Amino acid sequence: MDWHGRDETPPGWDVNPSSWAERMPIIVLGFVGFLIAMYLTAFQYEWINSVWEPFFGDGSEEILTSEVSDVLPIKDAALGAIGYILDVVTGAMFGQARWRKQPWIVILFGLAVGPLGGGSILLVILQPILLNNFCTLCLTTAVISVVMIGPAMDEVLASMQFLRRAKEEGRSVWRAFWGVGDSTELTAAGRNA
Amino acid sequence: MWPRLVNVAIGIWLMFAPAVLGYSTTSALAEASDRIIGPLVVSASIAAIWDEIRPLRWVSVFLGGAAIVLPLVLGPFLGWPIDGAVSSIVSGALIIVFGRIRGPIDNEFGGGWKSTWRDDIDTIRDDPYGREIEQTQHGFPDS
Repeated sequence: MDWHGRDETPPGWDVNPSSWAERMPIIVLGFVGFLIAMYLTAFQYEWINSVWEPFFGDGSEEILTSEVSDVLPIKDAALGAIGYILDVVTGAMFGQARWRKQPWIVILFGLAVGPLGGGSILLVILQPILLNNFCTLCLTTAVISVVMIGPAMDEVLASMQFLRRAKEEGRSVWRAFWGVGDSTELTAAGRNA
Repeated sequence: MWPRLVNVAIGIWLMFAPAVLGYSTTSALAEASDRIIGPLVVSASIAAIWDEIRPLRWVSVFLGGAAIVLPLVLGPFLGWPIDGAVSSIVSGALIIVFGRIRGPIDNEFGGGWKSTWRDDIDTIRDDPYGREIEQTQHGFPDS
C-alpha cells in the first residue's frame, strides 16, 4: 500500500494531504492529547487525588480546581477530551481520496482541529492570567492542539479547492460536499487538466 | 522555519517575563499584556511553520506591534514597570523583524487559499505566491 497516496494527489499539489503519511501524525497527536485530557479529567472529577506537576508547584492543582474550570456544564478537561477524540475520529475516517470523496468529513475535521482547537488554546492562555500560575499538562495539551493545526489545514484547502472546481464546472456544490453522484468524478477532470 | 522558532522563543520569554522581572503580582496590566501576547505569538508562530498557513506569521507581526504600542500608550497613565516596558517593546520589535521574514515555501498547493474565493485565479495553474506550476506530473520530494 502506498502510504503517500500518490494516485490521489490533488491537481497542482506535490503531496496528497489525505494520505496516511500526512494524517497519521495528526491522529497520533490527537490520541496523546486525548489521554492527557482524560488524566486531567480524572483529577477534576476526583477519581484520582493528585496530578503530575514537575515545574509549577501547586500550579496544576490550583488551575484544575479553580472556579473557571467549572463554568461549563462539564469540567473543561472533559470538554478537551471530547474535542481530541473528535479530532482522532474525523482524522481517521475514510481513505486517501477523502479530500474529494468525503469533503464533509474533511471540513468537520478542519473545524474540530482549527476553531475548536483554537478555542481550547485560548482557555489555557487564560489560566495563568486569572490565577497567576501555570499547569504543565494543560500547556502540553495546548502545544499539541497548536501543532495539529498546520498538518490538518492543507487537507481542508484541498477539499475547498475541489468544491470550488465543482462550482466552476456548474455542478452541485452541495452534492460534491457530501460526495454523492457524478461530482466525485471531478477528480479526473481536475487531475488531467 | 528558524524565523518562526525565534518568535516562539521570544513569545515564551514574554510568558515568563512577569515572574522573572518580578511584576507578576504588582502590575496586573503589564502581566496580562505579556501573558496574552506571549502565548498568542507562540501559537501563531508554531502554526505558521507549515507552508499552507505561513501567512499566520502576520498575526505575530500584529501582536509585536501591540507589544510596542501598549506600554507606550498605557504605561505613562496606568503604571507600567520600566523593565516590563523595555522587555515588551524590545520583544515586540524583534517579533516584527522575524515575523516579516517569509522563509521558503517548499510545497505546492494548487491555487492556494485565494483560488477558493477568487474567480480570476485558476485553481490548477497558480499558487498563492505567484509562481506558475508546471503542468507535467510533479515530483514527490517528500518520498
